[in-house]
Amino acid sequence: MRILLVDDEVEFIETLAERLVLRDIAAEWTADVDQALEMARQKKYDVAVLDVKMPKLNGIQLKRKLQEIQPAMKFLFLTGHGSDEDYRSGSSEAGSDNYLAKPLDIETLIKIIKKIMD
Amino acid sequence: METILSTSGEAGLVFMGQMNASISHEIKNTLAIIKENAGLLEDLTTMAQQGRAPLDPEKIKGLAQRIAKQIKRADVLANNMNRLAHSVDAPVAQVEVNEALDFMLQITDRLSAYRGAVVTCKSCREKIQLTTCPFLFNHLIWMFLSQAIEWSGDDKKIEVSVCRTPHGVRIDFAGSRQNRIPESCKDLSFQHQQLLESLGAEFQPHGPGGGFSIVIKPLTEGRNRPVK
Repeated sequence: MRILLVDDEVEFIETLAERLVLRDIAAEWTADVDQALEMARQKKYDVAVLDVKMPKLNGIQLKRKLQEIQPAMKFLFLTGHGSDEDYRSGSSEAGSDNYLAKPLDIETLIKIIKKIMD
Repeated sequence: METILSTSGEAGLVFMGQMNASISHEIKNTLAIIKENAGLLEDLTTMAQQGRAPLDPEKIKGLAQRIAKQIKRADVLANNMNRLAHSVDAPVAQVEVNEALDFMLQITDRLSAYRGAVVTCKSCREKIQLTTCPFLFNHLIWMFLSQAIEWSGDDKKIEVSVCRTPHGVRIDFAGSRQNRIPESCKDLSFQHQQLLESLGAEFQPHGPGGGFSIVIKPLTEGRNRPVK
């Protein structure tokens, strides 16, 4: 299982990737949406974990572009939304139940990724 | 009793909500970074305790520094949120315009970036004091910065600068390809017009592609009294 992590908060996504790798999950990260698209052109990823709010392209727009490159790719969204109201509006915007609020619990993240893969 | 602050109405509430949501969102991001770095510290110490990998002091030091940096970032964000909240304390007060402008550009930086805009500020060297309504001034800056972003084309580079005028201050919003700017104040939205009027400010377009200015006069003692 290979995971692509995309978030413009470099120190967050880099550390999250390192922690996933320590748990034997092949995770690669980028803070740049253009590079994310390039990575998807070069390599197959099973799941993409995307921040919803990013400059240039938001997570939902990036999802659409990644799907064009890899139609079988599954998605999980992350958000720094501050409240339940924010969370609900974000999850409806993402059109997805696969939605996690920051700060994350890494074990919950892994559980959801595995569920998506199943 | 109504004061000048009352004129901000629903648009003022929306502005406050928008700023609040944006800052709290960013605080959440710093907390997420702190949590991941603390988590990684725990992972590495657990691995060391289990004899799976030795602890690297440089790595530990680097993670501790990252946590300290994010705490500092969150502290600045919380201070900004607090400062914005206190902008409604007095309907009229002395505002140092350069500082107020820097503050507004700082707290709206992420909102501008999400819209693909790069906003730079050309501060004036001299201190410019203006008697105004601090909350409405903040709202005015964001409302017109937001508008400048919308009016600019794909190349969303906006330069904001300030200078003293004989009767107050002028804030310039310059940027390339701002070619959809209305020719007069009458073509602005009702909310824009209302905010300009409340602050005794004037909208001055520079002509095709040339940006625009907002000229703000100081509020007089009379304006400090209740509007009604």
